[in-house]
Amino acid sequence: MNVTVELPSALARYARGQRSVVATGENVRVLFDALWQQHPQLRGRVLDKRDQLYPYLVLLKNNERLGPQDLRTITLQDGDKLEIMTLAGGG
Amino acid sequence: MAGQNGNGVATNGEHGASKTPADFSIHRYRIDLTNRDVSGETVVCEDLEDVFGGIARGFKLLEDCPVDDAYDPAATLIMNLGLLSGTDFMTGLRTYFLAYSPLKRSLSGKPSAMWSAGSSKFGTKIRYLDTDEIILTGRCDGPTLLHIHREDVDSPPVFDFLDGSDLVGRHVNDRIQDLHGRFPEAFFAVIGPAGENYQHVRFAAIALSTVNQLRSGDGKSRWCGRGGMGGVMGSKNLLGIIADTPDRKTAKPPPILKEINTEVARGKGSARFRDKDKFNGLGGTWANYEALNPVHAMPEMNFVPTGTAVSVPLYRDNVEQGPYVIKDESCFRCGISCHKNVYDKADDGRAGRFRAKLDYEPLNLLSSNIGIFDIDQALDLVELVDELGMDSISCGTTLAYVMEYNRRHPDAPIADGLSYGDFERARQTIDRIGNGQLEQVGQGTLRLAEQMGETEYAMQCKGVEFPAYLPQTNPGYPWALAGGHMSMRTYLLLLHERETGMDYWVDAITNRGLSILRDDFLGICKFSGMTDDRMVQAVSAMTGLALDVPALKQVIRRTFLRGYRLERRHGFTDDDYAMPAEIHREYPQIELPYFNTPQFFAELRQRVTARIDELLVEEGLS
Repeated sequence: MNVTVELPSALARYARGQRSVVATGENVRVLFDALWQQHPQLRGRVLDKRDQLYPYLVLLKNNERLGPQDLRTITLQDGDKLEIMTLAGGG
Repeated sequence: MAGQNGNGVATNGEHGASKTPADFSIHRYRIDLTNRDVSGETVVCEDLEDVFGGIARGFKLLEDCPVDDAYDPAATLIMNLGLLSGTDFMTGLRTYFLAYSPLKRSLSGKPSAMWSAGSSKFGTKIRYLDTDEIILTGRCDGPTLLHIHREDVDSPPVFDFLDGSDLVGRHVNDRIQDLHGRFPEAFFAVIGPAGENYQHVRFAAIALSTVNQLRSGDGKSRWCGRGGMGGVMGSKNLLGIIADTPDRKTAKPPPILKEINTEVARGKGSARFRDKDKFNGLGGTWANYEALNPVHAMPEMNFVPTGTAVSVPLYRDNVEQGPYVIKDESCFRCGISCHKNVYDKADDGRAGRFRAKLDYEPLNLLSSNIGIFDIDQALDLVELVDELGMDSISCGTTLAYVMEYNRRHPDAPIADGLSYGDFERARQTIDRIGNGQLEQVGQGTLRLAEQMGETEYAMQCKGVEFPAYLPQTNPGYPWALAGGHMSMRTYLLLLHERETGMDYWVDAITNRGLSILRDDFLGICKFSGMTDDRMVQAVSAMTGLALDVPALKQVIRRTFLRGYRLERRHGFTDDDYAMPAEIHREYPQIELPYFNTPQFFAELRQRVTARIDELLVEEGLS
């Protein structure tokens, strides 16, 4: 399952500057493992020590917001798009 | 701006983006309030800073008019627009006020250059009046309103001085609604009681009226909050500025603008500020509660997180469980709808009485950071600070200092013993500050802390109070020119990037962090989230200006350097670039890397200073 993962600008610098990367996996957890293989510095900036998504990040699959528990259960199809967004912001 | 039509759209679009700064000119008015003398001039732009306007041009002007007292009648107050203010660019609504601040100061006591900006159709009306910049000096002989209007459609603006005595002492929304009744086509910039009592309140703000406010009658102003610009206006006896002209039919904008405006309203850049049901919005700045509190990176009790769940009732989802209706409302023609306006729920379940507009900063600094965790109380305090015309960030942070001082000195408290969580006394204290009856607190955190002899936990840099992002996690605050979260983009870097290296932070402060200044001369809102590429496209298409990203970045850099140079020229030494001592401690409850030690910061300051000195030389500004 080739899935496009879109990253916020804050994290793109840990993926060689790319805002969009492609990884493979049948569910989010497996896909993330593949993503960490490609870009090891991303892992500690997306998941906490308990392997949970940080509370200030949001994950969307094909523009639908996922809950924290969905990381283990949501399956992925070829061509799906995952998006990581940052929740905190001001200005 | 000449060289454009009144809509900000290039009149010579067929020439493509080939214009140079010399092809642009601005309409500037100098007003001596003492003599009521008005002189207008058309000024040909010398460089991109002149073309862009806002703080880029304003800093150049402030270089020539230093003062030792921000309230000196000779002091200059600049009101100007950015290049895209009042145009069809979505969020192009910014009006800027620049002056030597009564709040920001060097250790030697000199006031320093600062600005504050607000979004409102007021800026659009100023654009319709073909006015790019107004430079105010002197002092009116009594409470005065400056009425800007035209005799006929094509004539230059006329500046009348009206008696404003009947507005003295009244709350902000009351003033605006009164003026709206008298000038139905106008928009307004007004001060409140705090601005009138400027000698006792250093963080008075300027309110801009909004479309929503004038339609609904509710207190929904937008604010030029930071740095005490309302006090500078008050010191000139100027209670308000009335931009009075009919709406103008605008020319058809270039096709790319429609595309860019759609991106502003629906794209990723602004997603954080949209409601959750609006094109994958993430909820607005209020969502910072959900984001920062779980890792205890959110201010509580004078910027020392409790490490508990005590702030959870203030999450938006929890507030919505109560008797409130929250509506996302917008500035003029803006699709982001970042305003989260809270109403009491009426019997029929709909929005009833308007309570307050909740952004993250006012909410946090007037609730969690002063030990108040009841949303109803928080709404009352936010509304009261607004109605008195004060900056909620400075006011809230100063209250927190008082509470912390009293916690440490229970036998010798100040401000009637104001303590964490004491809503009723907080409300009374705010009322007294705004009405000029409590100068000790109204002078702001730094001056109060110096008076009490305890600056270690006075949460400010250069006299300007911290916004609601922990200073423990942001060593960039001292180099922010005008408030830590609006003029130095380093405040959430540790959260997202978790870097603690020296090289990283030197670059963050002297390079990346400066990017936030771009929108303070372009005239747009920071919530638009546009990339530099897109902004270059928009500017070129709308004005015909030949521009590329490196040139835009250079203006950002030069603008910062001019602001920094102004600080140095007015008495700032290395010692001024410091943080309150207690923020350098380790706070184990903050679930982010600890790195901002005294030793780290000392080396960082040395490196940042050296790098800025290099940049000044490179830009010919040394």
